[in-house]
Amino acid sequence: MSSKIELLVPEGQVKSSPLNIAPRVSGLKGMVIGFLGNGKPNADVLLSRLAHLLKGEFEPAGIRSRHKPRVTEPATFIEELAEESQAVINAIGD
Amino acid sequence: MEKRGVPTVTICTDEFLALGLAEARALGMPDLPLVTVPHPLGGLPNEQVEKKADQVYAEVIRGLLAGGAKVSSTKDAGRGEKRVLKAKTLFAPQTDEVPSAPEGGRVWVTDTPESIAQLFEVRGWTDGLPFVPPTKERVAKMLSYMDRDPQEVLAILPPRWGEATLGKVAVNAVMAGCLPQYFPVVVTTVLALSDKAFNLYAVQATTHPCSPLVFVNGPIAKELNVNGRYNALGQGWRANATIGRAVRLILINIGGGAPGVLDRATLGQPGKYSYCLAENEEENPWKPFHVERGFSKEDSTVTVFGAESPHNINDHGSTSGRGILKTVAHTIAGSGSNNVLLGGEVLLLLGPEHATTIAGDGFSKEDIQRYLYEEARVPLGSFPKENWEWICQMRPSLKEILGDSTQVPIVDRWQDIQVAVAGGAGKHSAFIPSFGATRSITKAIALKDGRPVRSVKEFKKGDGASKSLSSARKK
Repeated sequence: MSSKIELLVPEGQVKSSPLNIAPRVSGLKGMVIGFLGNGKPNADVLLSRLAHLLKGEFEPAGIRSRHKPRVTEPATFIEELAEESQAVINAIGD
Repeated sequence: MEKRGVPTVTICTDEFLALGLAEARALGMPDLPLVTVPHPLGGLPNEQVEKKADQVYAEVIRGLLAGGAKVSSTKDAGRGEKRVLKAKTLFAPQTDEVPSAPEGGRVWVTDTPESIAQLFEVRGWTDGLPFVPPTKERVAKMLSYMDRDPQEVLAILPPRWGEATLGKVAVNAVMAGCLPQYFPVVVTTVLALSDKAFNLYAVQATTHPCSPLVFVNGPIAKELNVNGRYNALGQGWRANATIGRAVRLILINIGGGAPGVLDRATLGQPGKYSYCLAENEEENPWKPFHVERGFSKEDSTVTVFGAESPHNINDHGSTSGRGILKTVAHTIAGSGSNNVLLGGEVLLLLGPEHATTIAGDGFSKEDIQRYLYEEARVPLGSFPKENWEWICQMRPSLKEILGDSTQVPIVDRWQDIQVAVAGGAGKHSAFIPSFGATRSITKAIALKDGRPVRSVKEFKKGDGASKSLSSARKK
């Protein structure tokens, strides 16, 4: 019977501090809802349709739509969108 | 958004769920609400996209509201990973052994090639090729060629955000078949890849086939026999093969670039196994590539490019530099290039015969770059209208660069055409486009304190070589 060999694992550890996600909202009526697209094809169309449905059902106070101009780089307007919106729907088109 | 107290729901296609879940876990938010629609979204008419929106609307709203059902799809969690494992077990297992789970960074397995291979394959730790089993002894020998602590975190590699400790990098270098003397090149490559400007996250996760090309300059290339001549981009040299392979294994095992899961390359390319060569400095009629980047000739460097596979340029007939460059220009100007879409750098590897003719006619590197910038243009008529609109959206600089011209440049500036010399005899050169949204990074192979080395021996622990070389250079 063959003996066992000890080998080292090539995977790097992922160290992350657990973070609680933000509390959910109790309703959407009267809220400003943000829509964030990654700039890839049809993320904007998907989000527009969702915004249309949401407006019809909940009467939000406002809609803020932002799309990344460059798919390959992080969005630069996150801070601004976070300040303007009480909830955000994010779409990654591809 | 969530960190700022704004609740979110993220929608992606099912093909990208694994990437989304991995990112959420890496950020410490495994419960981040994710909703999927069937792939794709791009390329569909609006009505079909809107139908997909209608199908998930209720789920999206639930994800924002307190008391709404959890929408991160637990049944889909790891679905992408299972798909990869299932593909691997399509073939009959090599042994009956049940793979053991890792413990404290180690695994134990029956000491046969079949059992070892099976364990690593099932865990997704390989590139599909046989590997050198990473024992403690082999990893220790690898680590002896670096003046850093094995626990030191060199980089955090995306998209999994795994810690590239020196120790883990060494394990992957052993697996790849690197000699310990190659380790400083591998470590320098990891440091270069983690430079923000390289944009490793995008290079790893994209549907584009790019892979880091590792380009070595300086005396260490010669010391380690990194090939820059005949078949420089092909097989046959241990340094080229294993340094390139170590980089890929690191990107899989630490960065998390598992194909079809977090590495979304549609087709990929052979350079994803290994992509490493040296410049042919002896037959380069201009300055070495790294000298042009501000290093001294005696320094050794690694340059990383987020590169596509090479495209050959054959010109056996031209006897003038301008003739050869015209062939180059019209080979490299194509409408499907990622550089046409995103700008960024391209790399031209001139074979030494072409380089000699071009330099002999008085062309400097800058002359070559400027000529190609003007001549390598794609006529507007080559683009289908709908793709042209998409390109203009993705590359906003294009409008200003084009002006009234109908000839589209392949890069935004002449300086983005990088030129180097590699290969043996023969009237061939190679054009290597890049991912576009990535910048090449050059790093010196240096001690931890930043002093460039003249030889890898300067890293070697436990002999007098490193001390005496360093103190000799201080004088």
